[in-house]
Amino acid sequence: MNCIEVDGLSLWYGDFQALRNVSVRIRERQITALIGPSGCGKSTLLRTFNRISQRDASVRVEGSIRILGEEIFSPEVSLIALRRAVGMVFQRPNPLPISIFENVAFGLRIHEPDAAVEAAVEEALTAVGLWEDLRFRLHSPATELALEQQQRLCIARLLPLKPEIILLDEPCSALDAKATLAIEELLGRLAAEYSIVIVTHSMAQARRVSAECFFMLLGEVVEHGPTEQLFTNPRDARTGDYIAGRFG
Amino acid sequence: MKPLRRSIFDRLPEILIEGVIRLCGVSAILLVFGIFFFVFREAYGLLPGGDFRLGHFLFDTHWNPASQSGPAYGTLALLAGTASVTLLSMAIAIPFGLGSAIYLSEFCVPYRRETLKVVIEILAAIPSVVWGFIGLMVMNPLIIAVTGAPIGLNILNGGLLLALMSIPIIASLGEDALKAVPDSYREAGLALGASRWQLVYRVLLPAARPGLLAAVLLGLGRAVGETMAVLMATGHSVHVPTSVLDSVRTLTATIAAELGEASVGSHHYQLLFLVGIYLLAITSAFNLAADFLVRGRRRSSR
Repeated sequence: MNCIEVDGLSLWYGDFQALRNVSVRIRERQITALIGPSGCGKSTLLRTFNRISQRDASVRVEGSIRILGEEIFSPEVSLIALRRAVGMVFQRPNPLPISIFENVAFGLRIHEPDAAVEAAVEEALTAVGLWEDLRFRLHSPATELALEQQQRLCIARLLPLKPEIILLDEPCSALDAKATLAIEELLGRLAAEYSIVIVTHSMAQARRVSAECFFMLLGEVVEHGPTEQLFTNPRDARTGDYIAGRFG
Repeated sequence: MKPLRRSIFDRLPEILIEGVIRLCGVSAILLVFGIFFFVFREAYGLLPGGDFRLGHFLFDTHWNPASQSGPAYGTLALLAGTASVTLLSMAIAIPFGLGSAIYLSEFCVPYRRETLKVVIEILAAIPSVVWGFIGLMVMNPLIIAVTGAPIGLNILNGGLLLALMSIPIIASLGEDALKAVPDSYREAGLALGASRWQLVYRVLLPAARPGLLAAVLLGLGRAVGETMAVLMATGHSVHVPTSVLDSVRTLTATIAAELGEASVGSHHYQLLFLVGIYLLAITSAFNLAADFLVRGRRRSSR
């Protein structure tokens, strides 16, 4: 089953065209990686899945994205419901300047004010492997945590809302090698329950974590396929050049 | 090749500039102490002179310092005047000021924001005597017509004027504080599906709290210290008010109105300086409290 279906998507920042007629199918319950050199549009594509890219008033979009069968550009679609179903983790860990507990409870507090938060917070923190370390300091500020813990927290705060899809925009670029490995291992576990799309600068990371891979260049999807195949036996010469490190 | 060592002549401009900068920093401290010193010196004559009672000064409501037969110098009514006008003005200015700050920073389209900011700056630049004039000539008849009060120069009039004077300060500093909140917090909130209003009160207001507090306190400082407008618009009647339609007199207005009449060095003159010290103590206490609050917040959120 596909969780995201993109057809003929083009996107402009003012006069600059960042996505050119992109069509992709992303499968559910696995990790899909978007790779490519800086400025190829991979982050823009990811940020359009939850329509956060349209915060920028100069952005203009054409084409179609269907998520869970719904056309997300349709005026009847609620942005709030869309973002509840499609969670996002950013490049720099961005916990809110409130307590650890409130960060994880944030989603429930805004979407389901009557929900029981205690159990949900414990469950989410356990899922990302933070519960044992933080259970006695849940009420200290989240911004005091180490970067890796902050990024885990940013993943944990999506979970109480039971999203269908988790988008990650270069989630490890601010982390060291050990923390990166730990986050990747966490993503591997989460892929059993969630559909995960990750944008990464690192080809090695894409190769380690993803089942399927999209290679983008200058706003277009050049090639996609199972990750192993794309890395060992690319069909397009540009993909081959990129993964061999001849540019980018 | 140029020598690697620098001669003293090369370093001279640096030393000079450093000296000037240091002097600027120290002068601020010297000025503050200077102000304290001179105000204290003028009021000092009261203290050794036996019959001055601090309890009477602080807690008595009768103010008649020029009287020949037993002068009264209780400032409680004046304090009540200052407090009532300030409270009313803050009750109006805080919601409107913060509201416009939020609108400007989060809900306004850019071109309209620029226009509004210019208007707000113009509002902040209106001299207080002009506000006093508006209070006297515009609000006075208006308040009489609307409320049926016998006189329109009262707490309501002064409070509204002070609110109008504080709102631009709170709005523009508050906008700065909100703009300084990192955009990553907004993205985090929005990506979790927060509506714009939820984003404001759950994310931005907590994140910008120290700056917003500073904005409110600067507005409050302006209201407490404002003299000319309240002198013209509050009716100049020394008593503890019981309703917003009562006329009052503030600490600042008292000094401004009476200092010209009091002969230098007289008991009356010294008392007015003591009122000045009282005012200084009140505003300093507010500033210190604000400082502690802001610092406490910063430490706990780090």
